[in-house]
Amino acid sequence: MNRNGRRLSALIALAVAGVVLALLPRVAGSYALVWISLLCVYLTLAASYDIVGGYMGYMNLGHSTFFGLGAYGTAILLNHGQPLAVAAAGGMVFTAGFAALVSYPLFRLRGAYFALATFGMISLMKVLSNNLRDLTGGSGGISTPPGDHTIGAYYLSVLIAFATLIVSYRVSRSRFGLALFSIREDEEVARAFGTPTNLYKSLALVISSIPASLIGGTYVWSVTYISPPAVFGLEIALSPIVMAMLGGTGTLLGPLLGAVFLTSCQELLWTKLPYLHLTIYGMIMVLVGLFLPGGLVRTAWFRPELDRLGLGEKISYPDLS
Amino acid sequence: MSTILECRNIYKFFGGLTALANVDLAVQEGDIYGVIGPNGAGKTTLFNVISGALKPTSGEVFFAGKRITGRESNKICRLGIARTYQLVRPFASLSALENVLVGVSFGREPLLPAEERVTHALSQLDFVGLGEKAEEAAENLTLVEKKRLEIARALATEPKVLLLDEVVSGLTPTEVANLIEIVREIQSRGVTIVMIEHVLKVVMELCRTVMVLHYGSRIACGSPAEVVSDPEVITAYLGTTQPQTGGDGA
Repeated sequence: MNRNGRRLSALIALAVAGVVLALLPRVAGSYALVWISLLCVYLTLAASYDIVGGYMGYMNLGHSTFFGLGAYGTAILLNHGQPLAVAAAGGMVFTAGFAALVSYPLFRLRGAYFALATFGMISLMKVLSNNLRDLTGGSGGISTPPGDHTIGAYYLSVLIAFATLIVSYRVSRSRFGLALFSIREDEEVARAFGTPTNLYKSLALVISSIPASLIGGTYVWSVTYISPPAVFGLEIALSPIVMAMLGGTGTLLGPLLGAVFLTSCQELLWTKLPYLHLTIYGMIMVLVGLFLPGGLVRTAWFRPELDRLGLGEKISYPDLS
Repeated sequence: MSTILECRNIYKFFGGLTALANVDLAVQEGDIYGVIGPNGAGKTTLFNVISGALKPTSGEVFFAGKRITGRESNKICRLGIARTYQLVRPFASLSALENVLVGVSFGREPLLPAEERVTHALSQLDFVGLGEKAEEAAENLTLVEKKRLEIARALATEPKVLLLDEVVSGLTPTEVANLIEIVREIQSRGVTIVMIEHVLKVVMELCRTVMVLHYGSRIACGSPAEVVSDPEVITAYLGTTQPQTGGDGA
């Protein structure tokens, strides 16, 4: 298939998905909408994590810090009477600023040290949000103005998730993305061949923090209440990373497949097997890890198809720039 | 001909170990300059100092009259010094083309417009004979192909000086002959070459000037013929004959 043909089929698929998702609130109940919104939260986190964790090869275990900061920032601004757009933008600017600031000390570390330091960042945030009582409400959490935002949050979450995938795609096909890949493979050599590694590492962290903070803002707006364990807990910290890995880290569609697969598994098991759902969930993760180490996208079912569509890892010449 | 690359009184210590001691080097533009010496003599350290991967403890490096001592390696690359690695270090999971594209996209100044980068990268791959393998992941290439890929990646930055770190080690005689041809052709494009080499045949054939390092010091410098007949060099490579004293076994 030539490039235009591929582009056309991708556009048609996107348009169909867009129409279905746009019309869904007319037919589906709020249960389905809330489920899809949550799926989009995980998808956004997994896909934005993967820019640093997959493309650049720095395992940022503290990615959910950005989610939590976005959520808290948005909540505080909402409570000061700001409209959602202003509140979410404020939360985003604050989070991106934080990411830029911590990138300097964090990126002096590599490998496991980097992963552990970023993981420590979550605990730091938990302590801060528990103790800055006037600002965050402490361990009692923070409530935002109430209201039924199910449909609004659904549209916003889908939009943010979609935008995150677009950003991820653009990055992977850009000169900047090439630099991230080369940093993942051998940072010293990347530097010796002219890549401004320090600047690009910070930039990658800031770019990955933005979708996470926006989806955090949307999340708190929709559920109207968050507490430190809800946004700085282990579930929200590790699930997106597991999803990115199960789907295939360092690829555009890995996080998407991983998020859909794991969220669906969780939902099915939870509703059909309430007593054993965590056991089986864990078993599925272990089995996928054992037998599909490259993730779902690198299996024989998906790989050739994705390459054919120009969405796989293999980047064809005209796309490279 | 003018001096394009110069090192003055370079010292490099790693803790108590002296890796380089008072090393001077002056490379004329358009030359092929050889650096030889036994293992551990400090040859690769010298390359690391020139390319900015390591800062010298003291001493100065000049490139085209400009002082570049201690500058960051990415800036030195953009100025026009590119290198290859003794133990090849391609970006393993990236394709050969992408490897070269890193050099094209970041290692040269001014930057090429997006549409010309791929063409430029492909022409470098063609030059080293890897045109057919452009889409192959670097980790799947053979050793000689990886070495060629490293040369292509370095050439993609349009260097004025190319540092080659043992490009022919571990290759068969035919492969060596092919690489010698490639090096000659690079020189004919006006690129100055500094090469570390253990294979003396290659040095004798290519280099006009050779420097010998031993325990971090420069022990000889001159034409290849002069250098290999230097008594100190012979001692460094082969050792001295122990006077036969006998009896004293302590």
